[in-house]
Amino acid sequence: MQQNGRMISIFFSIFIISSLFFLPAAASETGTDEQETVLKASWGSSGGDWGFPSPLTFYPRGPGYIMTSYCFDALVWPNETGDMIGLLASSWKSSEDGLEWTFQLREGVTWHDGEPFSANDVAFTYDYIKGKASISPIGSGWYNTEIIESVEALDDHTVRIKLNRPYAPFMQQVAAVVPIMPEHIWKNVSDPSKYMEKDASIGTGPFILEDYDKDQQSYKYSANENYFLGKPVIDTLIYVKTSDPVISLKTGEIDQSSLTLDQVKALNDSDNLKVINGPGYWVYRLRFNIPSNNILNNTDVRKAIYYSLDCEDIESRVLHGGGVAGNPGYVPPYSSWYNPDVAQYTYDIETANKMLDDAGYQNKDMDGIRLDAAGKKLEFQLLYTSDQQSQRLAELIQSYLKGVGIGVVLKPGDMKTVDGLVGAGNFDLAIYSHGTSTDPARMLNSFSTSTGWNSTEFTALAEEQMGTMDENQRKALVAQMQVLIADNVPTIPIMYRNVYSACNQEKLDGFFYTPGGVGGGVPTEYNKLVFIYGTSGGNSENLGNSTGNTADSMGIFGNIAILVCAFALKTRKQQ
Amino acid sequence: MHEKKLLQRLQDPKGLIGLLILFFFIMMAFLAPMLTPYSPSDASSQPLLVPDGEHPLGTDDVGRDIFTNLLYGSRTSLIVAFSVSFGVLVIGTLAGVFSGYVGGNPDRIMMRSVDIFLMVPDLPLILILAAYLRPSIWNIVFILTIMGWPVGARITRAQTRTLRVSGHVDFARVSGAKDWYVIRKHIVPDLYPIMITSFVMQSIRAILSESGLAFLGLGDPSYPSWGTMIKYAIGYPLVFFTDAWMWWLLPAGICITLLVLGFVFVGQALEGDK
Repeated sequence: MQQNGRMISIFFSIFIISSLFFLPAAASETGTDEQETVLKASWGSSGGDWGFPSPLTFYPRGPGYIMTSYCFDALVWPNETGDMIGLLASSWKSSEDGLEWTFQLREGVTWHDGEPFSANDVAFTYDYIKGKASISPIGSGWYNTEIIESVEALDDHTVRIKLNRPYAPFMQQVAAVVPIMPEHIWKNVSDPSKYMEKDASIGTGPFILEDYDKDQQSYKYSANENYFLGKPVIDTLIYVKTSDPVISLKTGEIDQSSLTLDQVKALNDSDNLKVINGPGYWVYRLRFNIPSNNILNNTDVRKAIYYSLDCEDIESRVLHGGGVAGNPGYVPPYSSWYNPDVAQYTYDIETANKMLDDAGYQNKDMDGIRLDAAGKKLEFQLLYTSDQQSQRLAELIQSYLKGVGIGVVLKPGDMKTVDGLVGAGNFDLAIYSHGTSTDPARMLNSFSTSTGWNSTEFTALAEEQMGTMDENQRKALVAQMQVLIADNVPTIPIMYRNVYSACNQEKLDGFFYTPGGVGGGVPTEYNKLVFIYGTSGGNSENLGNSTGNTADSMGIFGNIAILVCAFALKTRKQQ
Repeated sequence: MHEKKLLQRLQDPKGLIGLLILFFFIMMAFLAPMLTPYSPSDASSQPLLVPDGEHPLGTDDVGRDIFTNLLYGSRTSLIVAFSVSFGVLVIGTLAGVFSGYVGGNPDRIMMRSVDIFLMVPDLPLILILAAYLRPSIWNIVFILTIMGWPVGARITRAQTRTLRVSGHVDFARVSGAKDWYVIRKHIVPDLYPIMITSFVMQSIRAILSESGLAFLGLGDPSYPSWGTMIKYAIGYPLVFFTDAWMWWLLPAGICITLLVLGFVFVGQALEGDK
């Protein structure tokens, strides 16, 4: 009998402990709002931490700006067709010479904390970010303020921006980029680059930042019920880090992620995901050390290298069709600024060999590597970051160049090492992959720093196109710039990667890639308008509820099962 | 006399299997160019082919023949294994015998420096050095040797100390034999079993470290390596969603395991471990 008593007490303690385990889970599931729609997104395997989402603290890369754009609005914003629609501005006009822009602001807009938004905030923001180069998003050129002469609030809802020179991409590069910050919060901040209090993320945007966790690399936003374009169709937006987005999408751990083509191939119809693709504006290019390397300084050698590479073949091997082969004019073919009439360097070993022979490298050693006049090997070190695509690219370039008698020594490193060595000019060749940006101003004007190639003719054209307000005239100038690039081969654009995105349609449908990108040229599917104008299916709510119920019932069933066992055992003991 | 005992030990089934496996991989390394028409860096085939007559194990994501890379990978593994274990053997034995035989202050200094080397965590240091030096196969050999010799030296030194005061060595010395003669004729031969075991152990360590470094992307990119193959196979998102892992990932893994197993069997047989 004593034994039985002990048995019962043991089972009861198990019952109590197990209840403790099951109950909180059940409680938290039932505690949330039943109508809540949660979208879990992920930046894919490229990492998830893009800095605190305020205009002055995000990491100066595309995703960082996107995370900020959920909380903060600019004056205008590109829509599905790439046209500008008004966010904080309701209408705008420019003077004849393009030097004076007047924005009529939307009325009745409030900040997340309830304070009214006014023209003073716009003037404050433009003044505030001017000249603060030590703050990383400003220093790395996110907000182009040097062309702004003055910003003036004419009344509560009118702002006039004066430029010091005509600037053609003003709308795309400035008005649609600079996030307007609340004056009443930021005017008292002493060190804006470190200001990450809860207040720092207060904007007018469609989402309110609930939580940012640097270590977990996660973001949680909740919908701004009072958003002036309408309440977002999802209630909570969460960004989480995932090591394998494909598996996470398949298991439903996340609902949306950007992917590569190889990853898209791993999805199938039963996953119920909608995949969209778009222009990536992401280039893989071969960079030369033009100023310091005497051999690569020779344009003919660079052209010979271009002739010896079969970019289409390289694209099909590295990206498996998820990209476009490079264009000698650097501008990707899907861009509206693309000029097809430039010098072409189609794969041609004979031309490459002949050019290298003519350049004075006709002698070869026993391994078939060319020698210069002094008998030194024509051999280059190729720097690259050790991610899979760059490494594959490096190996292919090595074998292609070997075909024309140029030796290549591979040198992998992490991104910081590569950047450091290239910055110090301590390299021969390097593989770079980065966004090209979409507007010619950002795509081409920085060419002398990003390639080391200096041409006064090119720089003059670059300056001129920026100040040309007439679209067709500007196009002609940009076309001329591409001809110059193709003639001089300052860098070899080997291929452009496309971008793909998959999303659970039941959660949110309507993702699109904005032509020309958002935020001045970030090619991403995360245009915040999709959260306003997209459609969210109704199934998700039921889904959330039913999992809550199962967790609940599992708890009860578990407890009942334990009790039944206890009684069964007890009766057996008594017999 | 000593060698004969070792050979006898190798004759038990375990040792024979081990030797057979090693022989298989050595033949594979030597005959690689005859067994396949492709070169390991030749990426001219269609990428991602499934196995067929032309490509017994298909092709990888850039169009290289996987079978060819597997064959040439054995060269890399064996070169690293033998170079490292040979280096460790020479340096370790010299240092150990010197230290143990001379004794006194040189011994103390030597052993303290060995202690320092032993204290330094192996793998992190290898990772850091491999990242900073140029990723060439000889750098990897160098690093693994530098990190491996203290173990060899320690064991050899202990054995030398015991031998030095044993009867036959004392007798030789008293009879007027010079130090060098004693070391050569009486000490080193008695160290053979230890040396061979440490050779085998170092080979295993070298193979695993080389594959590991290659897997982390710190290997020599111009040498085909099983570790690199595994890295690329896993890096390809579709590898587990199709059957590709069977001919891309698995063979490389099996090869590493088998080669290590071969060395383990030989080592166990030599130690007289039944």
